[in-house]
Amino acid sequence: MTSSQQNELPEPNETPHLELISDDSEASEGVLYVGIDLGTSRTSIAASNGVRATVPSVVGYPKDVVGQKLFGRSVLFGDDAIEKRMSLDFHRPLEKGVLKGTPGEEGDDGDVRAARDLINEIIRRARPRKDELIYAVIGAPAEASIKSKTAILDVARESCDSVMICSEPFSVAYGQEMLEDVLVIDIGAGTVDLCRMHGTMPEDADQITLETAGDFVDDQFAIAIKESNPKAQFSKEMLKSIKERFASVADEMEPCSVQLPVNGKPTDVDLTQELRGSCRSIVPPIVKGLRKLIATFDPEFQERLKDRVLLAGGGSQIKGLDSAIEREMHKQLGSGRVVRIEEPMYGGATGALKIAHDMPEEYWERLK
Amino acid sequence: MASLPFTSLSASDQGLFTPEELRSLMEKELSRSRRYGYDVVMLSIGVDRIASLGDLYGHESKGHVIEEITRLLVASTRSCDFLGCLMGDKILALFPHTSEPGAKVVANRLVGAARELEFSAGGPQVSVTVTVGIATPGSAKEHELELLVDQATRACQRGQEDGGDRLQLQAPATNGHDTKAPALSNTSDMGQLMDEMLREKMKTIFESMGEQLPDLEGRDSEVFALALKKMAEDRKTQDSKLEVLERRIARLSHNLGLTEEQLQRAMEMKGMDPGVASLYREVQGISDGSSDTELKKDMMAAIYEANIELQNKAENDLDS
Repeated sequence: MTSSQQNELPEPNETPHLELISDDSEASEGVLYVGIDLGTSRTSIAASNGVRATVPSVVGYPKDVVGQKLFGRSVLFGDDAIEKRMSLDFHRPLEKGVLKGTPGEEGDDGDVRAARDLINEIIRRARPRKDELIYAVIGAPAEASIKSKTAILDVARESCDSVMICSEPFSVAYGQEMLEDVLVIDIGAGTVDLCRMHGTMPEDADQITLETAGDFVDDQFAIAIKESNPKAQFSKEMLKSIKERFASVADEMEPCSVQLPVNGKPTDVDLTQELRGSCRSIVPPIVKGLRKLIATFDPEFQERLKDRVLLAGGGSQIKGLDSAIEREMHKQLGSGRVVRIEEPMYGGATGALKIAHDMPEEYWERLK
Repeated sequence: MASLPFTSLSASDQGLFTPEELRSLMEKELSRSRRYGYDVVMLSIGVDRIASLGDLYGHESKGHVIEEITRLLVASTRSCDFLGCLMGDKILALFPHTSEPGAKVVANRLVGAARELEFSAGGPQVSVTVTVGIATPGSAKEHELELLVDQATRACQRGQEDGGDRLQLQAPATNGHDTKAPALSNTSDMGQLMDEMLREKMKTIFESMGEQLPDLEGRDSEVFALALKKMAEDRKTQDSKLEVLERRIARLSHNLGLTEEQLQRAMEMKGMDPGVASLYREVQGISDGSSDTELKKDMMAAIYEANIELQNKAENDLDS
């Protein structure tokens, strides 16, 4: 670009305000705010530098020196680890949204180390500058115990300069700017979190955690397949992959025709009924939980609450789930309107990032 | 001594002396340089087309640009240099123990660094350039602060009129006459002085050719024709500037229309009352948005307190 071209002023079609893009003089200072959704199945991050990343919550360590040399790394994450899991000491460090082990206690079986490495990896994927401070907000299941929360804080502190925990469904609602008279359903792999927002910070009575989540669907799916195709062989990973590809609760769904090994031979099987039934199994518990939250709310605003239900989390990607919950709400509660958020995979992380942004600097400083 | 029209832009004075400090320090430094015979250089730094930037992107953006340029200046100079506050939209700097070549190096560095800055206007990228006017005192008279500032500022203006993005030295002195700035009481005095200066200059030119200055009396019509021609040229330039301004007004009107549409949509989404009353609430900060801010503050405080509790619990567990 020539000097004269540089000086031409552009058509000001957007909000007229200039902001410096590049300034090396400020390179020595700065904070990278990150929001992390630490999930049983996937861990997602949204950072203030615009980076967003997600990785399956699995960590693998080569079993021996040969493996380490073969992979060229001492630790593998996500899809990489899943692919090479037979040669790895394989860990899923989270269960039902919280850490399996407790830092400092015996018998954690390497899960704490795996969780620490996973958080470190997801932050690395947010591409922070070397000189940047990392301030993180991490979403935890609504009813996670204090012990579970302190365990997450403990492992995250090694990768972050300052870190806070907040309720996962709350962060979803906060990210959507829906703070009043809203019900949030956050469906993860380990837990389904329900949260009632009514213009104040939700308390224990406003939140319910269910275990009928993605892993529960997998278990139901496995049971159904064993019943219909007793000789078919499969692993949890295979079922998860099939579910992510075909999951639906609709009457008219794409046929779930896949190949499963039967006595060592790949055989075509139709799992449409089994998958639909498994996916539908999570609807009644969710509506039961919603009913509990609605029934204990101010009667004047119960109708409004029913009409403002947000569906988020990886599990919300089951096709037709929003309509199915709506139908069940109509049946059990007389009415209901469910809206799926635009990016269910990042709803929790972007909400947590928004919280991190809005958190006053002094709070971050005091928590260091 | 006539006072300089020092004014400061409050948003842009980071790392700069206040006008009073600058005046006092510069006067002392100039006095010292005259007494001990060392070099000083005065720089006047101006952002090119800064008024247009202000028109298009708002006063805040203009201040922001000047702030960044100031930061560059602070980064590329020594701690012993007097980085001046602003005079109008210009930044002043006095470099003690610095010759003109040294000042050129600094000026070139600053001009180059300013070209590298890029600003975002919500979509398109905007670059800015600066012009640096350089003045060095020659005679004892030129060690007067007002005169030196005036020379540097004029040099900067001349550079900007020639397209900007450059360094511009002060006009070369001719027998010391054109660098002197006698006090002018009114326009007729100025005209008279200009006539005298012109006559002196013409005389010098003719003498250099070994001839006497001819009598110019009775050439009024030619002078008048020349003046008319000059005025026509000036008018053409002004017309062109006027056209640019009209285009800018049209763009700004268009933007205002867009903003009003956005505002209307926002009001509809928020379920606000239409009309002036709701706008008044927004402007006064008593709208729904403002209560939302308070709510969010409370929520942030609650999250923080919960995390402090967690931290204390973790520490207690560790102790026990």
